[in-house]
Amino acid sequence: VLAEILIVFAVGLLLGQLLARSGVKPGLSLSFLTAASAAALVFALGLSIGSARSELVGLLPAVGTTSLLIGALAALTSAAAAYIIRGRRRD
Amino acid sequence: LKPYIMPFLLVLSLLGGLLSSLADVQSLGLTESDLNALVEYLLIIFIFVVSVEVGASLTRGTISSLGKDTLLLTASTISGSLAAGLAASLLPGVGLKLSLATSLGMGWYTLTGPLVAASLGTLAGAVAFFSNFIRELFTFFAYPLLKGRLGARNSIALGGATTMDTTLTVVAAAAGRETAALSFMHGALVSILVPLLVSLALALVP
Repeated sequence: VLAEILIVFAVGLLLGQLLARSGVKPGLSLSFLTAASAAALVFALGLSIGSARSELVGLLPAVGTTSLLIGALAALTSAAAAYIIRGRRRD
Repeated sequence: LKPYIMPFLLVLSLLGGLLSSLADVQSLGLTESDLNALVEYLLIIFIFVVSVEVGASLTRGTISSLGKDTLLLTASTISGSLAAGLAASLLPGVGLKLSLATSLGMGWYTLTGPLVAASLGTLAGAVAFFSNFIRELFTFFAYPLLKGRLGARNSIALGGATTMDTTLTVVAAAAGRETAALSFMHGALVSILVPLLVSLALALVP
């Protein structure tokens, strides 16, 4: 799956670039397609998570706490890294 | 679509999926492997559509204006996320592969959740999804608060890949158009790198 994803992503990027350089503006139709495919994907993920609820129920507090820690930590360390790497400028 | 509508739409979709699972999906002939295959197919369709959109948004003007600041900011976002992944691997029950793949999702939960689920299972996928969703939510609240302390430009790194769409709204509102332009370019560059970095973490980390 991982290799397929990278190939599809590279092909899509190239196609998008070709569209942009040929002057075609995908506009709203592509935005709606993105929203629809994202919604379908997240719905399927919800279905998959829900189907495994018997093994997940006892782990929900751990999943929630771990997610909260990783999400907030990744955001904060990124901003702190930017502060250090960009020479402590506060512009 | 207004950028801030997407998170609500996706939360509703997730809730819809969770509620639908209360119906006996096995009576429909759907096994766990069928559901995993469905997630994989939809993931590939989603990746294709998003990559066309990202590719089309990178005009010659955008690419040529990718200055030193965008590159430094992107490098900071990646190194900060990497450091968070390494630190999170010390949490009980979280392996290095899961923590790195999750943190390198850099806020792109619709991609990272299913990608990790396809590789490491549903539970790991749930952690990856919610971690990155929380990063996006956290950015909405933290950006206006932290921009005074860390700087408006440095604080863009909070949002990772989301700074080209959903959290671009809060950057533009709190810091103005010039910072918003940097935010968009940073988000676009990070979005190009996320599929590669998450895939590398899943494939190479033991």
